[in-house]
Amino acid sequence: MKIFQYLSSLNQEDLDQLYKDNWTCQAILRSLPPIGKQFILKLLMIDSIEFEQTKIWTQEISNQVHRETFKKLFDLKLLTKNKTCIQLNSIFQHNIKQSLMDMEHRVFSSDTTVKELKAPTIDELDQFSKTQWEKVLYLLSDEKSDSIPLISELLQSSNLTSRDGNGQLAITSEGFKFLLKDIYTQIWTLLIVYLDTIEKKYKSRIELLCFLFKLSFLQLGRGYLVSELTQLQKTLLTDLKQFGLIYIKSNDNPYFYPTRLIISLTTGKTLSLMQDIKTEQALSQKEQGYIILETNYRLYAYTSSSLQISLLSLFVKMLYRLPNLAVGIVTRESIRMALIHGITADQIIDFIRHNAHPNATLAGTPIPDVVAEQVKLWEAERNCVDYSKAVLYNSFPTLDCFNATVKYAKELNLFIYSNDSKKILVIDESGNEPIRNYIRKNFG
Amino acid sequence: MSNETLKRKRGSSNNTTSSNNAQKTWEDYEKDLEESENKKVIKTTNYSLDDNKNGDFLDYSTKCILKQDNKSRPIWVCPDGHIFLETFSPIYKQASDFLVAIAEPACRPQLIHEYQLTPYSLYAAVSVGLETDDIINVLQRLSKLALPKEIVSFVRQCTSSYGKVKLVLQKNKYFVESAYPEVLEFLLKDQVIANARIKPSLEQVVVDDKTGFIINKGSELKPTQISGSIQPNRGSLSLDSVLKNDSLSSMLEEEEDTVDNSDQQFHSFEIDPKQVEEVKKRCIQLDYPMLEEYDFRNDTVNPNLEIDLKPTTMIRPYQEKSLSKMFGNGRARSGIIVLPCGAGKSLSGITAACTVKKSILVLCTSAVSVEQWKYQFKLWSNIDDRMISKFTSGSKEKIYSLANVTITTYTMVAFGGRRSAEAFKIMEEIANREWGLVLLDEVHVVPAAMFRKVLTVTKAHCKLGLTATLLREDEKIQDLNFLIGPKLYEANWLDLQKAGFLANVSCSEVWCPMTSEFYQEYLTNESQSKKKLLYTMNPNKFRACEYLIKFHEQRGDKIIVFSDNVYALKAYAIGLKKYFIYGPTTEMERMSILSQFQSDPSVRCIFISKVGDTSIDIPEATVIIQISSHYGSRRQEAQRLGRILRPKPKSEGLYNAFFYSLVSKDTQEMYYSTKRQQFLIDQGYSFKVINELPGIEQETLSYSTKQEQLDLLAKVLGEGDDVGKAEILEEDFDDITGTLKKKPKVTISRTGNSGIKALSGASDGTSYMEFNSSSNAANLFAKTYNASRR
Repeated sequence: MKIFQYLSSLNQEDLDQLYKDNWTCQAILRSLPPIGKQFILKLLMIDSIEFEQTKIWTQEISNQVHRETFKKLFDLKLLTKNKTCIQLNSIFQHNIKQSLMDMEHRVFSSDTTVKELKAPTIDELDQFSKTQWEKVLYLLSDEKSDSIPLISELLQSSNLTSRDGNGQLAITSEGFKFLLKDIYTQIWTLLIVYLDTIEKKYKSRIELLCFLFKLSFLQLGRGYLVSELTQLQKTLLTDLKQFGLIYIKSNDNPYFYPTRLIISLTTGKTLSLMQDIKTEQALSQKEQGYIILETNYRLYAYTSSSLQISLLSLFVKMLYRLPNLAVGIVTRESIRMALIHGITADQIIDFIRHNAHPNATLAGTPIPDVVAEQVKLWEAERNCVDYSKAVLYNSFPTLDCFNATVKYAKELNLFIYSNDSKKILVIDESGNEPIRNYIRKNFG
Repeated sequence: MSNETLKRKRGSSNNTTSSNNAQKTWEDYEKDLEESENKKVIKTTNYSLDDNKNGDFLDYSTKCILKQDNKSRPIWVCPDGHIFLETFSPIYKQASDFLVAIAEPACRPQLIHEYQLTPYSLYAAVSVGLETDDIINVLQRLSKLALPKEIVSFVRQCTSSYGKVKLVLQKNKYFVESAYPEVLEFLLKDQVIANARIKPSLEQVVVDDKTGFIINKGSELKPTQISGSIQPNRGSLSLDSVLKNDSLSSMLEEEEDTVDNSDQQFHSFEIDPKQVEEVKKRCIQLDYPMLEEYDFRNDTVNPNLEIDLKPTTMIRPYQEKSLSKMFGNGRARSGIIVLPCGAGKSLSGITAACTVKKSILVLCTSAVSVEQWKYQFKLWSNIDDRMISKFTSGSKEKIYSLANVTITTYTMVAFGGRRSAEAFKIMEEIANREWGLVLLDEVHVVPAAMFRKVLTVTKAHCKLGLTATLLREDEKIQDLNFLIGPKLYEANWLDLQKAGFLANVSCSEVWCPMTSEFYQEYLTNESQSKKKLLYTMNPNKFRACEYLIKFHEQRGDKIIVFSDNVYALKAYAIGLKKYFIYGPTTEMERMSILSQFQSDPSVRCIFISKVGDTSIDIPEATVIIQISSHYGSRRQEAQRLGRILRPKPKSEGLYNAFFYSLVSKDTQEMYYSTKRQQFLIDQGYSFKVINELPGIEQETLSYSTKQEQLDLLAKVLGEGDDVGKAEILEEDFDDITGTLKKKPKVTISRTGNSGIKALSGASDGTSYMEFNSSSNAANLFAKTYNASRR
């Protein structure tokens, strides 16, 4: 996940400071992959263990996973190495232990919130976060939309848009790639840039990070008192609203509401405590799956969103647009255009797979193998030329010299190309030294 | 040599003298056709829809209004006549049956199908008995979007004049019949039609004094039972039976019976049989295309034929459905039925014959299919052997005097040269007889000129065309439309495959990298034919072919390898020590090879040139490997696939038949290959690209050393330029039996049509190249056809 990359880049002090917050520790624990969680829990109640002994924790075939997991934990500074022993980061360990024992733990003290009159429903919150985030994405695509100063600044500083020759903001190849990613990666990408600007302004990115993690433990559909927040957190609230992570009716409203986006931010999945997993999955299916790709390369998108259509037209030649359906065809040219913009075949395939229409998923493969392979082949086609460095020799003093050098180069298997009439010779770069010496020795 | 040229000379002089007359008419005809086409264009632009042929982006999102309950409706109708259909809708089956009747299927893969409304498809809809309001109402009910007003007016315009005029053949005379006398009066204002009119003779009793039209009472039309039909009444409804019987009826109001015209009066006038063609064409130009119908049950003049399906013969649901379109209102309509190869086209034809029960004429493309048709007739029906007669250059059987079945080839009937006395007599018999039903096999391969000849020579009450690949952008579909009739039914390949009526084929395109030496030569060589030879003879392709043959022989499969290039065919077959069949192979040898292939377990693989593309029935074959092919011909690809589509009893795993197309990487072949596959892809087939055959490196195969490859290259380069060229340009028009053995080979220069369009077979001028007919007459047709085009 994007956030782990970011955290890994922080230094020990910052991280230690971060781990002082109980909620952050929990959030990090739950967003680790299952095997990482298991390792943490194994180490939780012991002081240290010989690193050699951890080998038996996984089977031999999973060595790769084992190594990667440990690397990740070390990168996050959750583990420390003491000679041959490893142990958990003591602050982290302490906090996790504590949270395991403390059953009455609450995010905000007045968790038993008073019901606000005309509190937004969950649907309204979902709708809000969705449109808010779409607005962000609209800023990227060429659609004319109201500019959100904070966001367009962030987009620019994250190099997703840049000013072209006319001073107009235009999407960059990074921006294209960004659009094809899933929403949580997108949010984190922007949040991280946001963190950096906050750091410059208030020197308080750790506090913001802690705040973000804390918010992810809130309950969807409940209102929380703004008055309980610190002054800095209050200012952050208005910014987070623009991401669609928080809903607050107006700036002086006493209540704020977390949206689904912030709650599932650390898990990467739309899991909330309110609803059971099944309905949740059905909901996300319905929301996301809208693409049918056929074996004849035609693509049908059940959508009325201009954003989704302009997104698809990055790699699909669109043919029809109807009120609730867009039809296009995947062609070599359309894919090549995408590839030129720096989008990879895998990104395209993942994007289609991720957004496949439920009926396409039911019918077997969300993306026909034939099409997926063809897209990959089109990508491979662009890489069919190999570049290797070479050295060109010209202006040989005599024909003899030229011929002898060519012969010598051929003997050493360095020869690539020669032209007799122009007396030029091209050899492999590795042969530069011996050939030069040879010429100097014999003809110099 | 002298023998050959002499024959050619004689043949050509013969042709020029004997067919001078005919040629003139053809040329006239072509001119007429061009004119009519021009006119048609103007006509149709009146109500043509903006076709999205050039692939522009069409935004109807604001123009069309989504219905509230759109989720329960299965189709979208765009203002340009394009229709999208969800196959996962609960009423998919009904909706697709309806759409097949009124629109051209554009592509039918797994989940979403596309159709296009065209004037022709609506013409076909009207001719099977659908009425304007029905079409609009049903579309309106099925569509998720409010039906665009363009569509409503388009349907109205297209169908307003269609289906009003009928051409009826009675007692050897042609009548133009209509329930609307004003329409007849309108038609008679046209000079051509007026001239063709014959004044009623005395026998015709009821004549309208004012107009001079003959009046008959609309006879009581009872639905016919299709022979062998499982449910007696299912196939006989005037409307698409499905619209009435099934769950859709809740959505569709009961439609009134459209053939309830028992108290209606029909007006008609007689026309000159010689000018039928002209009149039909005029009527199309006047936008009153004539429906041809034959009331065979009330035909007392022509003797009945003793024929019925054997009790053991079962016809499949789709065959029944296609025939129900033909015999919709108790009469037999002319038209075309499109079924995939191997789906039982002949049985459909024979069932139609058993329903009509009059004299039947079957026209096929080759002598071998004449044999196969006779065999099929005897297999499925109880017809007496002496009532079937074959008429080919090899066997001229006397035609049974009363009703009978005659099976012959197009070329035999259309032959313009001198005939033997025996053949002349039979031909006369064919021309004089009033045929109840003419079955036209493989209608797509026959040149238009030959078609016209055949259809003017024979007097038919009803014509049924059968084909697997009616390629839609082919201009000739329009010819067929007025020469035979509208397309009555087109089956969905994937549905038939799912139901087990077709083999489940795995299609693959194997990419064989060119060896560096071959590729260098390919890039630098100037000669197109040499290039073609180089990518066909690519050692890696040879190895891939050898590998696939080994693999499938071990599995116990029977393999056919196709190669258009005869040089490659020989080189591969000899190199791999397999039997091969091509143009010059004698009939004896062909038969013996084919029977060995069918019965001898040690012969698992044969090589065939394009003589085996159509009309060769080898049910044993389960694997096809294609090493060289005819540019971008989609039809050839589909026909070749058809060789293995017959359902296979043995099925291990998902697939039970395999189709490989070997292409050399980074050559022109790739481009053609993609083009060739388009038809099959639109039918829902998918071609898997195999970049590398697993385990090919471990096998011991030919051309594994550089030296062997270089030797091959030298050999290929050493061949004269014409080795590649001769095979590209010279068309062997032979059929598999080679009945006309000593035919002159006509080399047709293609220099006039350069460019990719010509090479790919896309341009009109070269389309005759694909007509696999078998005599010098055919070549002459092709030549004159072409000459007059230029």
